[in-house]
Amino acid sequence: MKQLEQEIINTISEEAAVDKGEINLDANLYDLGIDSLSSLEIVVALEKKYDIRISENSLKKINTIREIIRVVAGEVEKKKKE
Amino acid sequence: MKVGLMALSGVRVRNEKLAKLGVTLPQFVSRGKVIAQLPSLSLLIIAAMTPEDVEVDYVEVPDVRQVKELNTGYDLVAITSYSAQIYEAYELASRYKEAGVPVVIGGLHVTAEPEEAKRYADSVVIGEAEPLWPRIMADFKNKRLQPFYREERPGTYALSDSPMPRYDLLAPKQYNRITVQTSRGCPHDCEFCAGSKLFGKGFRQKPVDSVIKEIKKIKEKWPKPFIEFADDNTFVDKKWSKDFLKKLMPLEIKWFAETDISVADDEELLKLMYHSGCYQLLIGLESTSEDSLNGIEAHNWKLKQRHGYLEAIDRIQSNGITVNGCFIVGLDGDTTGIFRDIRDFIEKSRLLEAQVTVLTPYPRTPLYQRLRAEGRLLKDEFWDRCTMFDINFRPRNMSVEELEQGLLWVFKEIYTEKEYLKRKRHYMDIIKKLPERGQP
Repeated sequence: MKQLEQEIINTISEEAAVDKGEINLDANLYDLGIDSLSSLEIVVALEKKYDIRISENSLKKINTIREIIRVVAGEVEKKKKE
Repeated sequence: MKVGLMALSGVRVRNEKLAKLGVTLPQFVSRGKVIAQLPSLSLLIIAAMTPEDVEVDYVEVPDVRQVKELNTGYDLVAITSYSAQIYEAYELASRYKEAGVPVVIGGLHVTAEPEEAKRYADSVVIGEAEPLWPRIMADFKNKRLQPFYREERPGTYALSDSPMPRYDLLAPKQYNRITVQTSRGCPHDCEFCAGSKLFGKGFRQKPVDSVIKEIKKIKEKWPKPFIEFADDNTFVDKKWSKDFLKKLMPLEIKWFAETDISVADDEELLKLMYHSGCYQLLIGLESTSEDSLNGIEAHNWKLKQRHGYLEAIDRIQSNGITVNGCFIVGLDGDTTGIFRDIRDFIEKSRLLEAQVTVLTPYPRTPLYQRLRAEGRLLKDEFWDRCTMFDINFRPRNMSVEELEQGLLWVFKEIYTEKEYLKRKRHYMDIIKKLPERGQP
């Protein structure tokens, strides 16, 4: 889980040009300089990386990096069990 | 000597019902936040034209009422504002004048209403600031500031002469997007447009290399910037556009621009846009109704495009570029059915984002003059209500109340999270299949 979390943070840092050190997991994405268009591209990058598809319902919950990690980790787990 | 350059920033909505509804609609708030945080490019350009021995401060004023104590450490203050915030700008100007600091005021609104502005400022800039600012500074230094500075031949200032904006004045963490201008004006002659009329007719473009140089400068401060091209219509000249996008590609930026639907006809252009980092195009579709499009511009160009709107949006979005489709309600051809038509169109076209605003007669525009002549303005002066969300005239085929109700209804329908997420998921599925950006 820790490794996955780190990978996700790396992807977000790269996609959104935010320093890893400045990432506060609970900060609102917009406050980190990640607007709705950038967050959309981040989620797509993670979907491609882990070959997952996040539902509309789960997309709704994504307002912070911690939520992105939780949703992506959940989908990755689901995929492993398939 | 020190000059304070001040911009009234933020988005205003006077209609209480809409303001209250707006805060509950995430998509409405999101675009509002982006606009509110954009730096004032005109002031950064003026700063660059200010003599080197003069110190400049760049100040954004989101709410004049919150300014309890003025910073009076300036020899001169220059203020710019749009119509919706102009009374706030006048209040700020009056307070500086009372404190003994001379005030110069400029921008679109005061270009339309210079005599009004003169009541609050020492000097009014009529037209674009670049050709006038050096003279204003020289006159001020020589203690002979004039009441009015008027651009002699509006619309003729060559953008190749425009200096590198002083991006260094901006605090990096305060801005999610940085504005860059590539052109001024628009070949379409829409009756309601203030920007492409008051600063002179015609379309002027900045040389590609100047724009690229500006972006490289921005990258020194923001290594991976999100650029908002602050133009009326960026991709009018397709040859210029392709040359520009090819040079933009290696810079690895993300960008947003306003343009017209003609970009959909050029597949090569769309591919270049995607690979050079285009995240969104804001396109003035204006209406879904042919009756409403008829007559909004002299050549009815937009009316002629209407039959191809759905296909064009699909073509743009299929190339990995989201479309923010803009619609205006209250046009003369609109009936009360327009609100449902727009809602249905947005759903069918799967526009990622949409912007529905009310027809707004900005001062001195042809629309303003016509509605005034027809006795349809609710008041002669209503500048603080030029928000694009407040109604200032009697619509032709419905009542003011019906227009207001319809606007509120369409907002609730299109900006709900559920509808937005549907459109977002659709677009995400498209870009998942596309190659990485920058690798054509």
